[in-house]
Amino acid sequence: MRVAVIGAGVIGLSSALCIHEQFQGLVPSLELEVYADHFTPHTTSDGAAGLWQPYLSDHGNLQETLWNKETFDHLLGHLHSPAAKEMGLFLLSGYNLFTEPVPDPSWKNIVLGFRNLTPKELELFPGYSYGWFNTALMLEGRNYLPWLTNRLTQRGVKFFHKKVESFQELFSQGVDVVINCTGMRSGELQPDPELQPGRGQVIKVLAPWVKHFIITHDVKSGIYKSPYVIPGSEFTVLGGIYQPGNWSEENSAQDHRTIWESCCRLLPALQTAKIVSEWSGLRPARARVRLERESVRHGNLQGEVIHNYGHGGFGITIHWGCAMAAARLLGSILQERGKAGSFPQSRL
Amino acid sequence: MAAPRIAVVGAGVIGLSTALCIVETCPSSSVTVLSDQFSPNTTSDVAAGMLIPHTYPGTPIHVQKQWFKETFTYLFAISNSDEASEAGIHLVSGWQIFKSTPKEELPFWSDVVLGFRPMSEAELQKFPQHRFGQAFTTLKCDCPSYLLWLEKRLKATGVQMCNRKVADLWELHSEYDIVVNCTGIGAHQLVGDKKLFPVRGQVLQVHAPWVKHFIREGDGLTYIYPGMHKVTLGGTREKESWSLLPDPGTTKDIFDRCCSLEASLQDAQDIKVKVGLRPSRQCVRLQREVLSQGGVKLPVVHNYGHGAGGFSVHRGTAKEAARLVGECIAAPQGSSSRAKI
Repeated sequence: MRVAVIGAGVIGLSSALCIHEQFQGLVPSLELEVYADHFTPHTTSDGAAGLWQPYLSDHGNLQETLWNKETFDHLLGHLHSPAAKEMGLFLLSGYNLFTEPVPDPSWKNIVLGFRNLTPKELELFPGYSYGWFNTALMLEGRNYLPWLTNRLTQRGVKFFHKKVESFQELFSQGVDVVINCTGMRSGELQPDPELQPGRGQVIKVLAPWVKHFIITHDVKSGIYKSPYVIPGSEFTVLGGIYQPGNWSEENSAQDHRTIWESCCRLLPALQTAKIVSEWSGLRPARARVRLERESVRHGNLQGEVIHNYGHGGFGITIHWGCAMAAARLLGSILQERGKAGSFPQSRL
Repeated sequence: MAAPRIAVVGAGVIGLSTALCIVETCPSSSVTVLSDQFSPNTTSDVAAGMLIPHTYPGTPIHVQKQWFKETFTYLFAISNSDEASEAGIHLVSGWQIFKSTPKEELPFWSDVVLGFRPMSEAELQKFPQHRFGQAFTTLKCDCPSYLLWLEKRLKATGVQMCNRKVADLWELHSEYDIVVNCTGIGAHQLVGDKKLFPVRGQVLQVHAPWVKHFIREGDGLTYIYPGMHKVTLGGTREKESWSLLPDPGTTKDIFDRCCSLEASLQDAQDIKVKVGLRPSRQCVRLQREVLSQGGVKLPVVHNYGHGAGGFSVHRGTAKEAARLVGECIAAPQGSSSRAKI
């Protein structure tokens, strides 16, 4: 039984690991492969700061809220393991700021210590009159992706550095199931008008005195269009750009100015921070994550595709819940093909 | 006194901040800082610089609270300015945890720090051996940076820094009109204060930049304080120990205790061991005294004995010391002032 994952960002690698962990023991004939044209540190996931935080509203999409929670709980469970540092996993507290009162988010009980900001705390942020404080998790792509890669390599999963042009290409080579984790470029394998780039740009600086994330919100403009500051283990990420429909991965001087000026206004101490690098990336934005099975037929070739893409700016936040869901879909396929007999399926 | 010549003895956080307050409140004075040690060789350089007050048994609580509040307000403004990184001042959040519920659930400073509240059950799960905790946000000074920043501001106003060992305050009577004694543990020898005693603290400074929260055990013996570049792991509180030599057994003990609170510290790198002697006293000695010999008088303002709480109250006590210096300046002179050329 050959399963091929296309895509080696956080979604592809975690789906591969989740699948291997769940099925390797049960399906001895399982051969798992990962195909990608970009690997860490050149994926979209590598550019993300790595903060676990969903969007403000789940728009009634409880499924995604559940996947977010599964991810948070899974990561929290790893926090005290010796692997945490290698994974790039650590606790981080911080501020979400608003210019007016807003309803509590769907994730208020998932994170730790969620509360409103006190008047004295709000004095730190002139122009903002309302906000939250909570403790969340950081999962830095530059550590997590190599860690996932190592776990997969140890388990004997094979990696192929190539650009897959079509699902059929893999089916014709004998692959039985394709896990499509191609993020922004899923449209090249199968057109999807719902998938649009949400272009972001970030500046990485050295600001080791920053110990909190600070995310501002302009409820009218929308997510990520307002300055944010997220301290990592080595660098601090400054951002605040979200441009739907913009496919450019070139850094824009104007966006640089917008980010720099707005973040320095937010945190005057940043004026003395040393700029280390700048990066632009395309959030694979979609109204909902596409996580579903599809039978794909082309001529006399048929295969199963499990789609797992469209995670926008919350890929890291939701990745493990989605990986588990993708693994469950694979479980159904395996059962249908009589490959797995009866095995624990706790969530079918 | 027309243009009083003021000597501040001691160049730790107390000496430097007191000198700065004097310059701010007595602009006509000429201030010199005298010390045999400057940063990075002062006791202050070893301190983690966390704004979590120590309680002095001999000082009224409302006074301690006032000192802390003044210090917190002062540093809060710096942390929010473009001088923050140079001064080494930043906010940090974290937890103070207790194995059993403390007698005093609300310390006197709980409404000065930010967002003080009890920890939730979910938060306490991170510390399975502890049953109660407090979460809050406070300020931290990167001590060597802060001292350098204070020195820079002092020099900009014309204050001289003088590397000199003062063996006796009286030796300054001919060159200075007023002496301010900020010698910390040095006061034991310098003015023979037997009520002043060292409380030895050993700490480890490690590279663990993924640690973003402080963790402090309620008894103050075990703590993890993330700074700008290093995380300070502590510690010890050894009364009457004068040794400045790091003890290897203590190093291992501190490391083990801290790792039991934060397992990821096992991966900490570049471990450096430091020792400081907290200049401890029942209460901070913050008072005027007039030394006199043969009809010659020398006003002295003492500002020492801050023990474990120096950073937490430094600005408050510096302002009080500057006020006392102001009283010395305004006081009617005896025959002394004319004699000093």
